[in-house]
Amino acid sequence: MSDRKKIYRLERRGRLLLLRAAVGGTNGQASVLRLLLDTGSSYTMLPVEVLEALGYDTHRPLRRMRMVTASGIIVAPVVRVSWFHCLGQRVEDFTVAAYTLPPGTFVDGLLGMDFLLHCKAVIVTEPGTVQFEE
Amino acid sequence: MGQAMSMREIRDGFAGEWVLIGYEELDEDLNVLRGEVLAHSVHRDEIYQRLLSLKGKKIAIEYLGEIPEDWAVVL
Repeated sequence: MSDRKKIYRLERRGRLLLLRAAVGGTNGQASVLRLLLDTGSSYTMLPVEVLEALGYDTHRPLRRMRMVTASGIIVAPVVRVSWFHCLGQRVEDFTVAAYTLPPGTFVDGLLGMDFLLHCKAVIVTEPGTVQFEE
Repeated sequence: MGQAMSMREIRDGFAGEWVLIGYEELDEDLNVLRGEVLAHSVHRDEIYQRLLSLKGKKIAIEYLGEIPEDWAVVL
């Protein structure tokens, strides 16, 4: 087994780790946004408006999912995006939850455990990096 | 607005705001190198609403203000 690792630096803000991601639309368009790395989130969450602008119908999702948040239980639509790219990893046909975080969060969404597990990410909190096996 | 600008020019011109950038070029970390500012506002939700009228483009959403070091989040 190779022990070569590819390392990506995260943006550190206080005790939080931020990164940039890109998501593909239904017709060649794409959006680039800033996410909060959140190991407490089962799913990657992107704003409803971003997904709708990319051509996804959040009113007719794959399914709706109940999620426990710090402010209560929400029901969020789940949609499949054509591709999701983050930290040098591109995943085709990736499912995300559509949910717009409250204003004042400075980020557009959350990078959740679904992506981190899929890519077998190793997070190093200090200095703030993510490693992947090559 | 209406012309391609470097990211440094965009940061200087729209400091403290949310902007939608029709990007021409990104680096490998997905940072915008050059693009056109399509909309800007101090209110994030105005930017998100504007996004809905710009379907079909390659767009980066950028917050160009300072993120406080003591910013705390519990989701």
